[in-house]
Amino acid sequence: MKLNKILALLLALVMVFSFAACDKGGSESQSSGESQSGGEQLSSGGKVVKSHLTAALESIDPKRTSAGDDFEVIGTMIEGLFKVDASGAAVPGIAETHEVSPDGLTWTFHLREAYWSNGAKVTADDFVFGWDRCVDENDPAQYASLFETAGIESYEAVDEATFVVKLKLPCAFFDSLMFFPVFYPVNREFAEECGDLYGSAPQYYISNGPFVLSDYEPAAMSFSVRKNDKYYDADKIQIDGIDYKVILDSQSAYLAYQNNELDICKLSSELAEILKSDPEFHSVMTGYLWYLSPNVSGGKGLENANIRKAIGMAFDKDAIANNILKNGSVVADWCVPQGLATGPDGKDYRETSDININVYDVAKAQEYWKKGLEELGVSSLSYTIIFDDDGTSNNVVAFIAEQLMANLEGLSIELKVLPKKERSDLMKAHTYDIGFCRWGPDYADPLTYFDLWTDGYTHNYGNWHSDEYMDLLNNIKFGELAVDASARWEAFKEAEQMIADEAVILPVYQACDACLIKSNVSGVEFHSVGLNRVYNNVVIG
Amino acid sequence: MKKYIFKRVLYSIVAILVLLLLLFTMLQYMPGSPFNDDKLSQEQIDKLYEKYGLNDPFYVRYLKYVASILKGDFGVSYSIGANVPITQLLQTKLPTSIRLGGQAVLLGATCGLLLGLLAALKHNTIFDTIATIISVLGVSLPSYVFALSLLYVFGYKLSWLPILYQIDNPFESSILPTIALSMFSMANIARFTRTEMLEVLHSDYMLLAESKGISGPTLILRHALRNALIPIITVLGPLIVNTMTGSLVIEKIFAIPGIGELMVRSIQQNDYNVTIALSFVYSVMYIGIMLVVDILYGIIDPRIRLSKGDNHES
Repeated sequence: MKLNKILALLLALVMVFSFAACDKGGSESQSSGESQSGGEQLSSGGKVVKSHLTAALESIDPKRTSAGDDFEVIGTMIEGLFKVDASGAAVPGIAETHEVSPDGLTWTFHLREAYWSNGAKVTADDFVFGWDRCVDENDPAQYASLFETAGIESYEAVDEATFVVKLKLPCAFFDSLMFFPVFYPVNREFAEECGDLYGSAPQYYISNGPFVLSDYEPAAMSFSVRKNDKYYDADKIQIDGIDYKVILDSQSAYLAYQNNELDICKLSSELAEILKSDPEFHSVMTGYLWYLSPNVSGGKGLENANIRKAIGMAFDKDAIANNILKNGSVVADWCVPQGLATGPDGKDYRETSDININVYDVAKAQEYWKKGLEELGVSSLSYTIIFDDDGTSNNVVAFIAEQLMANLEGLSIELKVLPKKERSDLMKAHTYDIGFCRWGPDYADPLTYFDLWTDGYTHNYGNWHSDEYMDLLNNIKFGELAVDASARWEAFKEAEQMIADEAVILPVYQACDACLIKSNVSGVEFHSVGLNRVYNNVVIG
Repeated sequence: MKKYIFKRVLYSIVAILVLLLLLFTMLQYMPGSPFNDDKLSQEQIDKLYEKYGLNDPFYVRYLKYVASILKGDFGVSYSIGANVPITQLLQTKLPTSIRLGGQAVLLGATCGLLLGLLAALKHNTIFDTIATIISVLGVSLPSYVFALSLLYVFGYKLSWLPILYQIDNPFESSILPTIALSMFSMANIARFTRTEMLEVLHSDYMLLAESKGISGPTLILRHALRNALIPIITVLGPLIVNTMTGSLVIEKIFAIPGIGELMVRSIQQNDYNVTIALSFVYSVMYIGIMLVVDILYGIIDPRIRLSKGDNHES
């Protein structure tokens, strides 16, 4: 009896472990099966970059996402009319050549001979279909608003290789929009065949770009892309693929990097501080501007510009960047970040604008504070700062609150941490005091920031309004300034001065991402707009 | 017994339906919306509400959902995998969690039982002390610390095992997470086994059995352990469910594509369908395992079966 029980237990153990072993074999065969179904065009070889993501993808359908990581992955597989070069400039992609009419309203793109990974030719109709999907009134893309921003009036496939776009007004940054995923082509026949399953598995996704999906499922924690031999520029792609790994815990990611399970590893600020002298350490500037948004329409004293200025000047941004974040993030005394856009003079906007918003100055802050309190006829004010539960924000906001209360007499601050969606909801409804949030650029033009403070814009959280500002912005977007690049650029500085004078937002810092890249991996390009990381020129060894 | 099981299954179905209703009601009052992407305009959000039928009255949505669940359709995800069927979302994640949990339960229960048995049989010896220290550490040491230590020693320093979970190498890459996940249940089971065994070993009927000449493994396994197992099984049920349904911390550290992380994300992103589907899965597992535990009671101790049978018949 006893022996029987022991044997039964042993049998159970053997079964469990055989199950696990069978599963291993099963997964392997499934994996190779997927590779085959992903396309015969897959290359084999060992030059695969193992890259780190910090969140699972929402979608690889350009229409159904607005997340930076998703765009990065989509960008490895699909190419638009233009692509982005190492410097961040738009260069010909699927469109081999293009012409712009003298009035700047008609863009004619001549497509090169390019093929999808299933062998179909990339045609102008693929762009028509891809764009139609995104502006579909009943089911628009998350980024459908970019069609409006670009002022696109119409688009058509004149023939198989000619795609024409007509604009309502000249758009200074139209070329940089053409490498943004929402403007990517989608093969009509293939997508219609896939229906709702489009983009949900390798067999439901085709590429016209450098890589093809090899292994993927929705919300996957690991997936991979492999070199697409049908890509028109395949000869220039020097790696065989990219293996993505979603790792939420930064310590695990670092250990995996050390164990050679990752070639590129994103770092938390704590690890960045420890590893900043490592030869493989890289600090990459992002386009994200973190700022405090005072609710101007809240009627709790924040309608007073002096109070807003006092709050904006009374905390040490340098200490935040260098003692709390410690990842290369820089102090922001402006509302348009560095490295975002290049003007007609060929210089970065930040280099040509010397406007400062709320530079840290406690004495000045106290002056504004006193004046503001007098104007309001009160001796104290209390506010709640709402922010996301993302870890880093906690430290930053706690520091800000402590400094504000120490430097501004009569000010009391409460902190409220919320899930991002809830925080965003409250701010969109203008039912908050001060919010700590960020904005990332949608396209390489200062307008992507200045639009934030226009009437009716969802992200005009503080509900600030100025007739003068609206007139200027309308002129930049639709008026005579829209067709005069130099004057337009100068007008942005005027707009920035208004934001500074009124302390519409209280900028804190421009975020940097710290990462480690193995010394034998080179050529990873980082961008602050559209595609965060581009692997077209990566070399291993 | 059959009738008893049938009745229990029926109760379970009712419990699940009530639970679904409760979940639906609670999700109604959750702040935020599944379509709160910064880039979406209000008009787009309205259209998405319309598209997914979220503007329908509460009872209509509930009934529709229950009807579709009965057909095996959990609906689509709103934000985690935009428009992706939830069954597809769970396709890999659920088996991964179950497999990992299963391995952890097996390891935890076996080691816990052996450790508890050893501690009780070698009461007040060095073995007992060691077993108690392991149990206390297992219960009190945060799994985060334990998992990271395993990862550091066996993954990084010794390079014996992979640090990250690998779908194409699930056995090898699941060894460390299995050990980490099993620690809590192992420690708990060891503590309970030790306590129960000590109590049983000092009871009168053990003295009687010994005086009748029964000794050795027969005495321990048939008379002592069998009686000690009854209270252990009571704690084993919930422990199994907790372990099987995954641990967010372990999944996070080893980058495991399991349902624990999915559950947290679905709540944070107000992805109602995913939250309800996962809660449904959790509930079915919990109720199922509790049912098995009840049946196990009867097998281990026929008195319980008889008493339940009597109650049932009366």
